Amino acid sequence: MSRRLLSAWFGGERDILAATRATREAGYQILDVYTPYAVHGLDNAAGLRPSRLPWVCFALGLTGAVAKLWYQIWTSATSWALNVGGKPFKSVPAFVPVTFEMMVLFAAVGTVVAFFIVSGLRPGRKPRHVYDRTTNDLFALVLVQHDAGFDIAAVRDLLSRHNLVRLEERIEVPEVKTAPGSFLLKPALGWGLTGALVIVVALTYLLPRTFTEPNSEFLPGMVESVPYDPLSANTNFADGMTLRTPPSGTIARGHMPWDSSRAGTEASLVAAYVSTLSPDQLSDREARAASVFATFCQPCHGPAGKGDGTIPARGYPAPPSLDATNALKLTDGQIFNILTYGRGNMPSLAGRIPVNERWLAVQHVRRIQEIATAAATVATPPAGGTAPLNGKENPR
Amino acid sequence: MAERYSILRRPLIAGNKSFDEVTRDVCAPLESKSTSAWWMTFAAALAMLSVGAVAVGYQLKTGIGTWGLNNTVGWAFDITNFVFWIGIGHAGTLISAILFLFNQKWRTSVNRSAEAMTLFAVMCAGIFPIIHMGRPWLAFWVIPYPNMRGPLWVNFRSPLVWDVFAISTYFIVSLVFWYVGLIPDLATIRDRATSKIKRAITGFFSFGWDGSNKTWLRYETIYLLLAGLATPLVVSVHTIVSWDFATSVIPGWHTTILPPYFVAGAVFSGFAMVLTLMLIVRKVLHFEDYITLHHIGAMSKIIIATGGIVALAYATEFFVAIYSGNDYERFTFVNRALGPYAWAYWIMVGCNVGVPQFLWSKKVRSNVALVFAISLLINVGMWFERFVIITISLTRDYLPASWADYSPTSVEIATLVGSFGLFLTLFLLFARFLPMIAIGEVKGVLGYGKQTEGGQR
Repeated sequence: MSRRLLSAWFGGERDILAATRATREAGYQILDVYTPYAVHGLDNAAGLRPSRLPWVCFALGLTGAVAKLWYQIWTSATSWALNVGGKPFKSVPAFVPVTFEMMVLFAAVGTVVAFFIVSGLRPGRKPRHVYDRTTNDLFALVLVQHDAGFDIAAVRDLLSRHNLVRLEERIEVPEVKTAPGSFLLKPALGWGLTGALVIVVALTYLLPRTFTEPNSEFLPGMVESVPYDPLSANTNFADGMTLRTPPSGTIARGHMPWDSSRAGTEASLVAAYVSTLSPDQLSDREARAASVFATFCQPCHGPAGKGDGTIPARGYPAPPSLDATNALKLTDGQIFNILTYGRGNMPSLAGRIPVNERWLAVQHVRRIQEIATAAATVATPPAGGTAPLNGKENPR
Repeated sequence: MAERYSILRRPLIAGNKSFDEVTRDVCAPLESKSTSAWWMTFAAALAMLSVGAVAVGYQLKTGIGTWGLNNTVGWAFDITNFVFWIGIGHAGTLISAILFLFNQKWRTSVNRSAEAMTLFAVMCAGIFPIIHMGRPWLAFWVIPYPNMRGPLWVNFRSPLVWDVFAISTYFIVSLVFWYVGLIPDLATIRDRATSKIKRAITGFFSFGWDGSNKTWLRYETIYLLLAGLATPLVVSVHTIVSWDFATSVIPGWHTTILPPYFVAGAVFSGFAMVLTLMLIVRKVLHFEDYITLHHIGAMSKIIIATGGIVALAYATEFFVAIYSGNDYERFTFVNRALGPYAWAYWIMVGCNVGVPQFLWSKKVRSNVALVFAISLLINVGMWFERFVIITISLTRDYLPASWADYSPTSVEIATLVGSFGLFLTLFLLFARFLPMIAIGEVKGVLGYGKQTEGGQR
């Protein structure tokens, strides 16, 4: 339904106040007054009642305060009561500051939201009555021509006594075109969604729950897997097993093969191991080897492998020197084997030194032997000197 | 229409402006191209912000060992900055809320920028406690939400939790307050906009404001309500900040005077910052008719008053220390004034007690350059006040064996610089894209001091 509107523009505060009062007293229906700023007294002139928003503010402030006070008491005294410095669980004085803050927050934000709702203000809303200059410097009084007896000439007479700037008649046709996305603002949708939410929340609490049983799963595919269990029977394969035999020559991760028939000589095994090291590790290899030796071998064998470590010093049978003739004859693999399985009083170190580092230890033993042999060669003149063969003088 | 001016009240806005002139003057900076001065300042602000961003990134990656803190001094630079920025913010709320309740109409020229200053200052303040946590990605743990750890709740008896609620409430309420005030002006800009994009954007954010009297009536109502809520809020926020210290047992912190002392100091420093900013804005954006010497004088008087309260608080602290007969309390205050950080103490006293006294003279209050210099010095002094209270008290705690000195690292200083960068960047963007003066409110006081009433011309 369309209605006929009459808009009158004025240039000043006093004029709009007087004109508004006069038209209202003459019995015309005022749709609204549009002003560039809050004109005090205009509500009186237009016959508006004071806003009821303070009540909203009061109710929301009270709600915020009560809810927060309850929440603090519930969390601190009921849900998980923690003893903080021996203070009472319901330490209400300590709850005052936060209660106050929440009261202010609820009251302030809630009042503003209420203001937006009752005034119909929302992001993107188009101004209902566009009179451009009413946000700048003019004041517009908009009257509704509610009956046939509306006499424009009389109104014009009345208004022109108050420095009327302009008078304009408009026919307001209700907008039929709906803005895109306006369906989102339909009350039914809002109520429907709210109702659904209420039902879901209610069901969450009302449905019986058994805590001793696992929860029912939504889309359980991730847990109950579609693939075959590795050890289950399988008719798809000739051997009737799900688990496939790995291709020949497969090596398990982190496992060094110890099969001389396939891997070749011990030296090539060491080389194979070394080839797996990164350049950084390679540069650290000697240091690492020394460190492994110092940690696991030196306590018995001593720093130079003479069998003079701290443990023999306390009475444990001393091991033979690592540069003894027998020891020099051992191959790398044999030393590795001794490290792995132990020999005589020496226990197995397989559980303590990983395979790679056992090879490093072997390498360090070899280095000790080299140094000792070199020292012995230097110290022993070809003519047959007096230097002791057991090399008690440390070459370093 | 012949106009006569009151002999008691001078108009708040100089230049006998019409409504349209007010709109044009305030919108002028928004509708012209950015000046080279703006670009240069903006570049400088961004540079400071990046220094801070790098510093924050570095300290997050490396850890809080990058600060100069030690076992004894666990709170120093960052908490000083936090309290400093929070205090700066308080003047905005004071102008928008408390002066509104007291019907001080001159506030209309400065309240918009002062409220924006509040928002930006609270943002800067919020950064510091969050990075101080050391693991800021867990900052949400300060919020009591239902969790899988029990649920384990926050300790509602701790002032640090009160702080979380106070500051987030303060930020939200200040934001809402500021935005509500901005809506009518956004509508004004919308109706002036020549480009379609600008019209669409301001149209979206102005919520369809059309200047309806019914809406203005409700607007005025909620403005009063918000002012009434924000007034105790602003007092509570700095009171709670002061409780962070006052509820502990460090000599120098553990005093009942701290809440009023902090609130007065916050207003004092905030007004100094408002003056600093307003004097620049006035000059650069040519708002001399809106921010007149009368405004500067009024703010200077508030500074004298709050500065007096602060000076009284300094004296009271010393008196109580002497009068208490408590050796430890006495030592704390003698150490402040004569100890290794005496220089900081005397900068504080000089800037906060000495310098504002010049404002008693009307000649000084009318000299914009001098007022600007004084406002800068007060900002410095108030920063040192927080440093003195927080750091000096900590460096000399209970046992002489655990005494330790503190000096900030470059990372901490860069973070402070960064917070100034953030503040200036946001303020410059605000000055460029939003009206710095509340157009609607200024129009309402155009008739102040004239024979005709209200905004009637």
